[in-house]
Amino acid sequence: MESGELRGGNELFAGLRPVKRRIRRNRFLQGAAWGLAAGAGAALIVRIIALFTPVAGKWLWAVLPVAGFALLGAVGNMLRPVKDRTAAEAADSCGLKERTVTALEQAGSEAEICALQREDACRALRELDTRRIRPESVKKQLLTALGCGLLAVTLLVIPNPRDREAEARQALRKTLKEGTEEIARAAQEDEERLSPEKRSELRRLTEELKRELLDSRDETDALVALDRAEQRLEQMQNRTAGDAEAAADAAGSEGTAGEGARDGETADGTGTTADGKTAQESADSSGIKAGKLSTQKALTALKSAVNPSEARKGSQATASGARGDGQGEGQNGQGTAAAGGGSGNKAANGAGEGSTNLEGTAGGEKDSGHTKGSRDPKYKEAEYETIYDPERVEASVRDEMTNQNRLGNEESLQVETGPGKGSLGGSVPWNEVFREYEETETRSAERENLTTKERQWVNDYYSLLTEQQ
Amino acid sequence: MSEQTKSGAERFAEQYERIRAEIAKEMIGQQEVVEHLLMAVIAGGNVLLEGVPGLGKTHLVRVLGKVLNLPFSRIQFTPDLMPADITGTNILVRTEEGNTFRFQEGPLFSSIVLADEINRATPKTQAALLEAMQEHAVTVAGETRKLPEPYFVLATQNPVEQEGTYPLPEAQLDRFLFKVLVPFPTLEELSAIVDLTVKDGGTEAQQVIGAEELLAMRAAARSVPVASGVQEYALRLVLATHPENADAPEVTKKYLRFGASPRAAQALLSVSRVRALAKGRFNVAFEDIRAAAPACLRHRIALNFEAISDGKDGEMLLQEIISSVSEK
Repeated sequence: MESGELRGGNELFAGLRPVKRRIRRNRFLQGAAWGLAAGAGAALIVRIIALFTPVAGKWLWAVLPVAGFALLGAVGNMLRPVKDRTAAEAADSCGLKERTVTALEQAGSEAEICALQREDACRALRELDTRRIRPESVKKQLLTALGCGLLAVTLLVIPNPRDREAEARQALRKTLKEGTEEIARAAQEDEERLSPEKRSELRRLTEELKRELLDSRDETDALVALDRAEQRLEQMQNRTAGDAEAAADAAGSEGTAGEGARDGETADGTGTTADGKTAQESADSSGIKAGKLSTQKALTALKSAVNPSEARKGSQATASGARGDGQGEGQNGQGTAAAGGGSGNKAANGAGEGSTNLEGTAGGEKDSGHTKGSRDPKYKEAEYETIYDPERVEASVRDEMTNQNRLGNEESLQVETGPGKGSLGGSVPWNEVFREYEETETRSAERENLTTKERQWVNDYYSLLTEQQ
Repeated sequence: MSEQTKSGAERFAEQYERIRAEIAKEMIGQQEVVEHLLMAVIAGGNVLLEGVPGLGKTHLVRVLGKVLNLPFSRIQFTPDLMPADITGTNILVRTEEGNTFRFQEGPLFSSIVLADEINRATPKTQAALLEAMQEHAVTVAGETRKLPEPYFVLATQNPVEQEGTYPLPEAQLDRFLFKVLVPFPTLEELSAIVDLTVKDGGTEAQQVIGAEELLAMRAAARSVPVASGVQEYALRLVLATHPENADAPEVTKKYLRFGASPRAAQALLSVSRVRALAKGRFNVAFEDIRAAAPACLRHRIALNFEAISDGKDGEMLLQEIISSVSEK
């Protein structure tokens, strides 16, 4: 029924307005309490989840649900419409002894006693101190919030490996983002020195790299992407250098260029061709050959930032690579641009640079699946010895055997290859070390978790050698 | 709004207070008893007063009659009291025209009837009261005679001397609006009673209102509005005394044999209306229902054997039931 239609109803409804305001305020507090409880519960759930899977921004996820739910609950509860009946009941609960509810119910009545009652109710409402309208007890909600909050804080402060993992991921993401920006800037610098064709290739390369880096889930993904980009960049560089040499050769044969350009000198500016294109490519190659591209430097820097151990390994390998470069330069006269730009894969020739990729081995060693520099930390290093018998075995063949100093049964073994013991001190006749090796290996076979058949195989091996001896 | 109604409702509390104060002149203590009695009288109900002899039950009723200026009669119930003794009977009267039967009104023909020690009369005589209490009429020799208005029966009974008594049947108990327990006076009250008795020229209660005004007060009380929630509470309270009711509290299911009748609900609401006006309100509150509930319900419930064997008191059980029923 509309209040305007009621006799004396207006006064009654006007009297209920302060009560409604008070109820909204109380609802705000109640909603906030409910929200706090829900938020603390949500924060606790997030922390429990964080025990099993990395959750980035642990403090954010602790504070955000609590604040968000509390605000949401408070505002949502406050904005709920307050019914007249609810307001009347709230007023009556402050000692009005059902005056307001009765007046509200009898609002349409014309009876004299009802008018008297309404007047009485309005008078009581005017005198009512709305501060007496108390919110419902929120003790339970607050206790729940406190309990959940304490548990969540406890889970926050106790060390959690997943948190460290998440932090590392976040740091990696930040590094990758910054590195990507740096690469983009470097690529922009390089583009100015490149032909339009190479420029677009470089642009494509950096775009792909950026996408891959931002999509990468961990260091390995990022390093793979970086390696791939590096290889592509290197190939591009090599192609450019090859083109430049070809152009220089062509120019030389036409007698338009100086002769000295072929002996390890750079091709830039050494000859002026009649053909403008060749001159441009020569200019490209001169810029590239003069040293690394800025993009490449940025890539290397990012790789080092992503994997510091890689950086260390890289710096060591660079030192040895520099030595190799010197030899290489002396041998093939290509200059630093060709040999120095080689990655670990190329370094198998003994002229590798520090920046090995995952598949390659530094220092020109044979690829065995994992390098020291980029080795997965779950693999532990074991000691190895190589039996090398220059008399029995051909020099190109190397047997690799593990020593008994294995670190764990379930661990994967790293086989580090390289020159054997025999090669270190020059030629040692195998019959001089045979007994010693037999003894060691037999003991080792007994101690190892080998089948009888495998042990027998070791014994047979040495028995056969003994017979030959 | 008519001035008469307005003043009737507004003057109610004042009149009520004056009546109470006037009774208090001759009735020391027993405030609650007086209040209950007044409420029942204004509501138009009958009251059963229960208390040991000498507590002033009869005196209270007599003072009430005086203050209300209503005709008062007293019947001392004894085992040999016959129905005709209270209702009246046709007697042979010799007139100038000859002998004729004339109805001789019994003591029931009075506005206030004090049925003293009602449980001493035989059930037959007790039953003679039923019609008078409920219908405010008496039927003798096939002729129904209306009793004067206002009319109410105030009965007393002694809870101690049960020898040779006839406990009132449930049907008759249900006719009483209230059963009021008259407690023994406190030391101070007893002292005041003694002082009042020995002093000469003590103040006597005076008439405050008459029958017309009493009926106006009754009419005003009947018009008092009751909120639906309050009325529902009264009904739930009555239903809570029924052991067969699924929602009844455990104490009811365990210790009560049967619960209050619908008359109890009517009684609760009518007395609550009177109480509300007496307290200066124009609406019934939960507290009115709670205040009236014990006197309204105590004689309308019956304890079972388990309650008796467990030594449970009806009053205590009633309090448990009342407290177990929520207002909402």
